[in-house]
Amino acid sequence: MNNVACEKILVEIDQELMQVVPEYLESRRRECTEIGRLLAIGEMKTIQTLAHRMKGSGGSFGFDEISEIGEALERASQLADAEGIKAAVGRLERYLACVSVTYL
Amino acid sequence: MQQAADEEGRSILNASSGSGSVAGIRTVTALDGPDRSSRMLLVDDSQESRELIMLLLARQPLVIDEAGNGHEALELCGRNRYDLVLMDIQMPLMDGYSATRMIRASEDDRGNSRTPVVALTAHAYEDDIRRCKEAGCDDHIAKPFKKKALLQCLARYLPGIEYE
Repeated sequence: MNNVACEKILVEIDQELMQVVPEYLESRRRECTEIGRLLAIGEMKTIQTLAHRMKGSGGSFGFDEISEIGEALERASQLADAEGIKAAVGRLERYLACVSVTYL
Repeated sequence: MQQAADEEGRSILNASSGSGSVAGIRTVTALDGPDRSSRMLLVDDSQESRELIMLLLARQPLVIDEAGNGHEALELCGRNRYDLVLMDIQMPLMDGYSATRMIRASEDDRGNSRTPVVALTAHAYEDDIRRCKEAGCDDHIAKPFKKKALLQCLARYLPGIEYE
């Protein structure tokens, strides 16, 4: 993912969240890999659980787009739509590669 | 995933410190002294969500206990009296609907007053809100939530909660 070409996506977040935001983003990066593995073994239910959490958490940490991606991922996993899941993970990978956080 | 969540739940229990301490108790703050702080139980299977909420509430006059699933929540509710329970709905082992129903049943059995239960749910459809109410929740906060929405909701039930 380091090779993804992108323009920076600037996100401003209250500095009181500084101690949890880096780990939150790192966890989402790990999940990109994990979801790919789960998809390969057809583990849709677990993808659904991860997606549901993503949908419910992104905006609270300041990343509204992660919630949107989580919603798309949840919908695709409910339908066992492998292409939809891959598309959502690709969108998440691009977002994570391009997002730049400023603490206010 | 289930296993990971289970392990997380146990790790919370194991995080207790001091003899006789109960699962996951962590004091956030007590700005005006313990006698003016409210005691809240935070129930969520996601550790990162709990950490987020703890940070968002760090400056409020609250003592917050944590539980990672409905079973832990019931155990803590059996040992302690809370001024409010913030209850995630979708959790492993026992979800928020079941946990809230059992809290209400326990209150009835013991003749205890009703503890406000606020549901945290990523399902914000009318039907989901109705299910929360039927289970015994007093209110709900839709995930993802912003800090102000969280504080506004808590301020309806707890004294001294401030939001700008």
